[in-house]
Amino acid sequence: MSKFSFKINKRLVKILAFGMVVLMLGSVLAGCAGCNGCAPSGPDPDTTTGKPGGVVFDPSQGDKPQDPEATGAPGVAIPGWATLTIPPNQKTVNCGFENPIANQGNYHLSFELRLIDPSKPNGYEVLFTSGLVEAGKGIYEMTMTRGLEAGTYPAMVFVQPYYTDMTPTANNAQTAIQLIVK
Amino acid sequence: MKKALSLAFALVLVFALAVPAFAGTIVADDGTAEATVTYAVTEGWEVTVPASITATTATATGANNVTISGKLADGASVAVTVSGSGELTLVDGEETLDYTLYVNGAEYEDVIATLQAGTASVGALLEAIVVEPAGAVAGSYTDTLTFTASYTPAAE
Repeated sequence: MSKFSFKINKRLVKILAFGMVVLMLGSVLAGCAGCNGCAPSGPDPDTTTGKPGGVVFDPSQGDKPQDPEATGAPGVAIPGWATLTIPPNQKTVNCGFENPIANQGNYHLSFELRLIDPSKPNGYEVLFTSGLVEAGKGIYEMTMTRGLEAGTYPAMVFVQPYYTDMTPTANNAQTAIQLIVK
Repeated sequence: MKKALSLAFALVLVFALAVPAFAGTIVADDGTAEATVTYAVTEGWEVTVPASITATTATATGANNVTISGKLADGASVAVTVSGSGELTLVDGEETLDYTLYVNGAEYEDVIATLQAGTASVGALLEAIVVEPAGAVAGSYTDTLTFTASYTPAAE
């Protein structure tokens, strides 16, 4: 046998082959164990069962409560008049400021009789102001701040609605009338 | 004689009972009569307005929130208009947001709705539209709307 050759030891080869197989198997097993540890730990797809580590729907969830205004809260019924006739030079006179029955359970109304007068700071003079009037009821006699001479005057009946808790509504209304004094 | 007179008076009473009493006068020419039937329709109307309006950033379809209903004299009408400052003011603050009123999806001009004689009811949808700036201060903003109803009699 030359110095560049060596005698192949079959036993050694077997040992080396066995070792290589063991090494390969070991690497595979180690890799599998490492993958389990590196897997992302997101929420369990099945979120209804409350599996450990998962997220479930809150049982108290619901639709967003709607704004009462958005749900169509009842409008305020405002009565209308074309004219109001009163006797001359009298402060206490008959009238008919009614809160329509349609407002029952929802709104009270207050009434204010305003005599249009551009010379006044607000453009009008207040002749009468009522308190709150319940739906279905009215003011049928008023005492004005002063009596008026015979004639026809432009006027406004200003109406302020109130919720049943006595707070005023955001909006209000007025009716243009002819105040006839005769 | 007395008996005759008594009998005569008795007969008079009997015939008087047979004559029914009439309240008023009926003119009967040929067996027919006329009577006048009357009925009066009282003029009156009612305006329904929203107690408040929630401003939005875009118009939308919805039920009428301003209505006029009633009975008017022939040729008469009732128109409803609205006025506001055009600015919503922050509650407990001074910040403001501009808003525009829209009626049935179109920018409000002068009248919301008009009720004509012979029509039972009319209505419209009134909305307040806000263009919210990027740096708007958070909070509740309000303004007051005043609805005015004006009656116009028939042209003479």
